[in-house]
Amino acid sequence: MNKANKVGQASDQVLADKVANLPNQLSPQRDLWAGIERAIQDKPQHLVAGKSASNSKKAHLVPVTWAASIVAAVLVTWLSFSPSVEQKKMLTVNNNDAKPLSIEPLVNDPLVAMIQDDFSQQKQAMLVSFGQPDLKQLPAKMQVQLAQLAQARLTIEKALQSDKNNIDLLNLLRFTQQQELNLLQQLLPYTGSNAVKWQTI
Amino acid sequence: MNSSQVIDAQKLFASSQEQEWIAQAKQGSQTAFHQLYQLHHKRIYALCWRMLADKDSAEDVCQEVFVVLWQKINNFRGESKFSTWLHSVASNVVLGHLRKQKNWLQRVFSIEDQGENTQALERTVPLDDTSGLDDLDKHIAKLPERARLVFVLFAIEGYRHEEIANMLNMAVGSSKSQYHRAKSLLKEWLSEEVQAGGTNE
Repeated sequence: MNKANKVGQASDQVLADKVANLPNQLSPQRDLWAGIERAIQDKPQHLVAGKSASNSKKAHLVPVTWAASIVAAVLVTWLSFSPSVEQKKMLTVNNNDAKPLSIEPLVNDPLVAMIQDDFSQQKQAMLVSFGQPDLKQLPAKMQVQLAQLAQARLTIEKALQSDKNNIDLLNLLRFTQQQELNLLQQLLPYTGSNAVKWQTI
Repeated sequence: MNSSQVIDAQKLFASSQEQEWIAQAKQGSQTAFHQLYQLHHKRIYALCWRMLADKDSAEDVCQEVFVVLWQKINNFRGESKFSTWLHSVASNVVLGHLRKQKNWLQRVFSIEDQGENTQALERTVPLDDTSGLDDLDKHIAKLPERARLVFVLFAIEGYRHEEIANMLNMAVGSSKSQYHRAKSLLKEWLSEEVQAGGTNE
C-alpha cells in the first residue's frame, strides 16, 4: 500500500468521525413559529391521505354528488307517492313570488326554525335586490326546477318533524336551500338594466 | 432500578407523548402541533441548512416544511418513526424549493455539472452564516450543490443511492460519483485545514 492510499484511508476515517460527530440540531436565528402559526391558520389539513390533486378534486365532488343523489331520491319519492294538493299548489307559480316558495315553519325545533329563517331572509333579500321579478315570466324549465326544489325542501322539512335531530336531514335541507338560492341567482341577467329583456321573456 | 432502565422509561414516555401530540395535531390542535414543532424544528432546520447552505433560505424552507407537515400530517400512519417520515417530507420540500429556484436555463440544460467552479459557490455562503457552525458544516456548505445534496442525503440522512437518484432525478451512478466527489473535496479541505493549523503552530 503506497503512502497516498494510507493518507486517503486516514482521511476517510477522519471524515467519517466528523460526520458521526456532527450536531443533529441547529438553531435558527429567528423565531420561525410565528410565521408558521400565521400560515396554518389559513391552510386546512388534508383529510384524504396520499391522493393526487385530481383525486383530491374528485374527493371534493363526492359529497356533493351524494347530496345531489339524495335530493334526487327524495324528489322521485315525492313525485311518485305524494301527488297531493300541496304539490299542485307548488307547481303553479304564483304571481306573488314569495308565497309559493316561502317557508312556513313546519318544525318547532329552534335550529330548524333558524335555518328556515336564514334561508327565507336570504331569498327575500335576493329577490328584492333583483327588483321583485315576476317569476311567472321565467323560462318554463327554470320554473319547474324552482318548484321541484321547493317540493324537496318541504319534504325534508316534513321529515324533520318526526326526526328533528337528524343531521343528514338538516344538511340536506341546507343543501336544497342553497340549490334554490343558486338557481335564483341566475335571475340576475333578467334584472336591473336587463329589465326590458326580463319583461319580454 | 439502574440508569438504563430510567433512560428507557424516559424514551418511552417521550415517545408516547409524541404520539399523543401527533394524534391531537391530526385533529387540528395547533397547541399539539406547536409541541411537535418544538421537538423537531432544530433537526429540520439543520437538514435545511445543510442542503441549502444559506441561512435565510433554510429558515424560510424550514417554515414551509412545518406548514406542509400541518397539511399532510394525516398522511402519517405510524408505519415508520415520525421523525423519519418528517425528514422525508422535509427533504422533498427542500428539493421542491431548489427546483423552484432554478432558472429556465438550468432547467433546460442538465445541472449535473453545475458548481464545477466551487469558488463561485463559496461566494453564495456568507461567512457570518457559518460562524457558529461545526468545521465540517462550513465545508459542506462550500460543496457544489449536487455534491452537497447527495452527501447530506447519503452520509447524514442515511438515504440509499437508489433513493437519492430517484429524489434528484439522476442516475444511481451519478449519485455515487457525486458522493465521492463531495468526499474528496471535504477530505482535501480538511487536510488543508490541518496543515494550516500545523503551520500556524
